Amino acid sequence: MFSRICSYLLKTIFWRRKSKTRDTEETDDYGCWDQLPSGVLVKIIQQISLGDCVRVSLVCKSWSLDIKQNNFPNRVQAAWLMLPLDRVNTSLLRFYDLFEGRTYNFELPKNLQGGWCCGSSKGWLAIVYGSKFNPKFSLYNPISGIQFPLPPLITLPSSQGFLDRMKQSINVAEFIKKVELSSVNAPNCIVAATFDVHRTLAVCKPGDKRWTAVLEEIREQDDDFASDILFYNGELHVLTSAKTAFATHTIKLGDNDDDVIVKFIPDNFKIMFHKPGVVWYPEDESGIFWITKDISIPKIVWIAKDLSVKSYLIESDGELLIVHKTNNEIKSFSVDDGNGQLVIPRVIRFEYSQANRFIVFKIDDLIGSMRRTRLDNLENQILFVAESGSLCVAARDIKIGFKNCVFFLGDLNYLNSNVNTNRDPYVYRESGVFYLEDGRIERTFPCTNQSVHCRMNWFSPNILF
Amino acid sequence: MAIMYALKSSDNEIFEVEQKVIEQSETIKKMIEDGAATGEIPLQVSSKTLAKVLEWCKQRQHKTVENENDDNKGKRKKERDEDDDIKEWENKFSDELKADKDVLFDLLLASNYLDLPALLSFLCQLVADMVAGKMPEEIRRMFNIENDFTPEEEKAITAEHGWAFQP
Repeated sequence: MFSRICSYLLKTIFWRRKSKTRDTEETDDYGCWDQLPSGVLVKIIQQISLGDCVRVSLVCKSWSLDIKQNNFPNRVQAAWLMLPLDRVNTSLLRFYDLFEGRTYNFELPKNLQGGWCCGSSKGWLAIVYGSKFNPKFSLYNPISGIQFPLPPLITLPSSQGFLDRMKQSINVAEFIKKVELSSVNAPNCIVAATFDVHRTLAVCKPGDKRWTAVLEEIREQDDDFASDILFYNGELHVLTSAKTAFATHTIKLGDNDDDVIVKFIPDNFKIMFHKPGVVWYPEDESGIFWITKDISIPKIVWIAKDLSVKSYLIESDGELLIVHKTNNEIKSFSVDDGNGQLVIPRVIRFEYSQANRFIVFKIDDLIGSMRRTRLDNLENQILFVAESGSLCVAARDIKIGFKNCVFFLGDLNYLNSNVNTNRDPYVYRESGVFYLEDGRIERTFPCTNQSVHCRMNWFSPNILF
Repeated sequence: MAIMYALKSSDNEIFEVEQKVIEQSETIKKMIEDGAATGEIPLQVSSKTLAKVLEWCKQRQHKTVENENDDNKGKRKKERDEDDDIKEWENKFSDELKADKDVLFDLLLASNYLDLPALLSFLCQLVADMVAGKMPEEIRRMFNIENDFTPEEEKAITAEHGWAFQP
């Protein structure tokens, strides 16, 4: 922090000194670039990155004013990758701008240090912190430094069950799956969140004393009851694996008179792809990229293509999209001996979900029903998907040559699945880019060791000029 | 026989131009369609800038005409060669503008006023590339802009958006 302040000060002094020298040398000999017509400046701004835009706004007052007047706060301005919170230097919040190739550092306020980030929405991060058994939960905007407390998690009945179940390897951050804001204006927005392996869906307004549960499923089998949520046209859209029809409900918020309209979208795709009694077939071990700890143990490797599906809701250029990611499941079992006899596998040594492809549908909300249209071309929109929050940016807004592609992050969780099991830990590399054109996947992101408990986020900073 | 039009610059120089070339300007096209373009068309653009504008329009027109005359055979290779030629021409054009920012500024205004979308977006991209990654003071020096922020204002904004000023 200290060095950062120093560098600002130095820079500021340096700038002043330089401009002073210039003032004396070239008195009154300024050009007319500060009078660039507003429409032209806006066109230039559209071609530069968010960071450049901030710097350009500090060139002179007339440019600053033009940018201020033409800034649309609801537009997604950039897609930054939030790097996992540093568990040692807990005051540091780091974002990586993929397209500028730069890392931005922010100081996390004292009370949030040591907390866990559970996701982000519209320029806000959801951070859970404090005591394990009565954790605090807040929204934090790293750009403005403003935070808003959310109602305590213990006001959700399912939190107690979760805490009881997870006594051993608890990380309360895992209780929160996704947080979604209805608008960038946090103090007046509605916050929706899914909890407990997507079984619970609840809403609140910042400042409320408690969460209002929309639906709280108690049956443990109903994982992914609300597998993704998204505010679209002011209504909360809920993707559900439950066998419901397309349905609309109106929910009253607990502490005030606000209503939330909730629309359930059945995730048929999952049911369509689900093959009961799927055949697992062995494949040559050498052809598979994962790493196991001990290669001396004889193993059989099994793979099943497109076995599981994870779906995401995204708003893209005013349209509601649903993106399905299909995974190949790879498993390796220990066998009892190496005599060439195939023994019935008993112990899972290793299992891995490998992203295979992405399928995008547009959803049209017709009265009482909905229509899906498959999209093969996203035009110049680029999708960024992750369980903790997805977003869509126009390629021209982030100045990149990519098009018709989906950037994806591995949906890792905060629970260490290796605790109390004898499975091998693995390196996870299911983050990258999928190209709709030819179905190619590039895994350009660094691998993650699953045991580091990182959940990766996309973050769209919300800059007010 | 191509239809010719006479354009008159703000410093009273006359430019004889083919209709097809000058119709790239939506402003002039509309004047022609409305029948307002009889005799000389007076424009609020200096002769130096207008010459540059026409240089751009002729290059674009040249490309369109050649493509129309092509048959499919050998078109691909020809297109590739042409793309290289155009790129080379555009690079030269950009370099000249980068060296003379006054001309660049006048050309920006002219392309905006004459409604030449292709030229305008080409120039905006050029300026965008010039400011990318630069600090405010470097941009001021590049375009000779006066810093009219007080040191306090500048300090406040720099602190507020600290992330964008990190080295």
